[in-house]
Amino acid sequence: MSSIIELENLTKNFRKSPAVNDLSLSIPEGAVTAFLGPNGAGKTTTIKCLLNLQVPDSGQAKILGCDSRKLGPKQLQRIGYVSENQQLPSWMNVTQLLDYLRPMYPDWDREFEKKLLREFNIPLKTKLRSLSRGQRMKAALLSSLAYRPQVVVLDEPFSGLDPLVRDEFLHGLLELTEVEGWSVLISSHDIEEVQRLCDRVTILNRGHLELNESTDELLERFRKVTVNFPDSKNLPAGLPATWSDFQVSGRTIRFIDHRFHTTTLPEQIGKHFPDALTHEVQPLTLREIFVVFAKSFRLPNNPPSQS
Amino acid sequence: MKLLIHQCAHEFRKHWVLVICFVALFALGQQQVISNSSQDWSIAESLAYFLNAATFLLFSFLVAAPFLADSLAKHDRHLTTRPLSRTSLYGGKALFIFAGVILPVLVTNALVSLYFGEISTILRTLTADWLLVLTALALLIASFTVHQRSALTCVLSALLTLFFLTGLWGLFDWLQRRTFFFRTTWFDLPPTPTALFLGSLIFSLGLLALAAKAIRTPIRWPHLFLLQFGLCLVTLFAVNQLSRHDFRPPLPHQKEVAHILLQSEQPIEVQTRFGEFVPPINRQPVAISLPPTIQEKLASRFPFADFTYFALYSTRSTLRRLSYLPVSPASSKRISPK
Repeated sequence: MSSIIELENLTKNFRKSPAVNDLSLSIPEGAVTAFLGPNGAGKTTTIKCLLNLQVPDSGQAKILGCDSRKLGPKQLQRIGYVSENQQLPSWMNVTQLLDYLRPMYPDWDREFEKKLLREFNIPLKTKLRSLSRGQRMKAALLSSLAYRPQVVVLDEPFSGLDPLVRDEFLHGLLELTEVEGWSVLISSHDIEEVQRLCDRVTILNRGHLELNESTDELLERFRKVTVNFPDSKNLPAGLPATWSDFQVSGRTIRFIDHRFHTTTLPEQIGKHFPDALTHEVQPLTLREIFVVFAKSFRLPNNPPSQS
Repeated sequence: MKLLIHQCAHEFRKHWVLVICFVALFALGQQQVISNSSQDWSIAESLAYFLNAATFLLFSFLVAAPFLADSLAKHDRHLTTRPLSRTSLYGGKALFIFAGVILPVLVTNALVSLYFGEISTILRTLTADWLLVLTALALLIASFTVHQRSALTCVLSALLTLFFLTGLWGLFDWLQRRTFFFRTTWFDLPPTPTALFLGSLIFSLGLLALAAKAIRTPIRWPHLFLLQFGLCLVTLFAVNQLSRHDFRPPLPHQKEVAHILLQSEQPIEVQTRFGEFVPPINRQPVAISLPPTIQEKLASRFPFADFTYFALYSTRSTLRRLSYLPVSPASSKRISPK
């Protein structure tokens, strides 16, 4: 599978503080990639560098095989971008907005536009400034999808949307990405929502890449383990580095296994907790996995395990 | 080119109300009638500056707003227009400014100059001083938005543009000085009845409003033509109200040919050449407004009718301040051919 987005040693500083630091990343074509990270991780800056909204200090960002600094109308006509802070011309209504945008895109699909309008259910004759935030986001999404872009980049698209609108938004996007086979890069703090969409997960921290892995593999290798003992137990020394987030409460120890395997876990538990009575294994959601990572980012010299 | 026109139409749709306001104000400002009341004159004089400033601000806003709206520095706003090339985006905006704002002014000035039969005069109006400054301002804004990363380059390019345009204006001014007063021509245009003027103005502004509202994308050429036709029609009627321009032999105290503007058989302004004025002997106040008869009727009915004086006077006086000075009917009799 060829890469649709490639970052090579991308670096961007704001004055003296680095926003993106020597970031190298490759995102395959046709995948929905979740771009996650705590606040200030450099997600938006990376996206802006990728779309030539900001110029990187060094390194290179490529999208659709084109250097971001050389992106022209031809490439931009194949990229859909919706940003949390995107400002649409508020004096227009949705019909006028679509009238304005249509000639800019040779591949604009009127039938698809009508279909999206039906699905999103946006009032056509109301000025954009009078629409709710969710409706404006839908309008922005519609105007970024109606020309059937090859790549869709979404920066915090769920921000400020109520659960119903989020659900509609996600449902629409999910259906479209499956049907159309688009490549999607989605940056969001709403990880539960993103989990329903994404094939891959990329996590940034302080401008560094911490993780870039398929969602299935990630969900497969992280487990919450609960070990039960006959008596109260203290945490022993020399536990594997792939275990973290220990919680000791009476006769129970809980932890997160970063390298779960059905055969090796019982062996490891037997080795480190010989007096254990039973153990239970539970899968983690993407949100819980992200929290494990986010906690580890706060610990000095304790990076989370990567694939 | 198609996208450039598309962007231009977009700007018209966004700013059509302001364009109509500007053109209407400008057209009304071209009208000139005599007022014999010194009180009117003094009020008109004092408020003329305020109205000039308002016209100037409206013009400045119309020049600056389109460029600033889609500045490259405003990433989140600029996203919508990104698939347009910069040429189409800023070219469309420049075309809007030219077609909607500058062209009506130029057409008016050029038509005024045509009465004098001098190409150099037309050229001079093309580089009129305030237009010059605003063009430079527009270029400055454009360069700031396009090349946002180098403020120094933007300022230098704007200064160079201003310098170049000033030089051009000086050249045309010199040409005009060389040729203007050698011609002696008699123009006697019958003044347009006020009702006809106002009717035409309302009609052409209505056309403008219709065209602006009707513009849809992709652009339909009839709408664009209608729009431009409406704009030019306003200016045509504005110019048609110019009454008479008279080129005479010099007065005894004048070394060269004088230029006299007449209305209703009375010379109201005399100029020897640009920058040289007739001595203010027995000068009577002259204001610019609707014809006296209409004026009196309006003033008697509406307390705010006097404000029409100021609106009418303001833009006209700006454009001609350098050229003419009012003189009294008494002194004009000395030079009247009759």
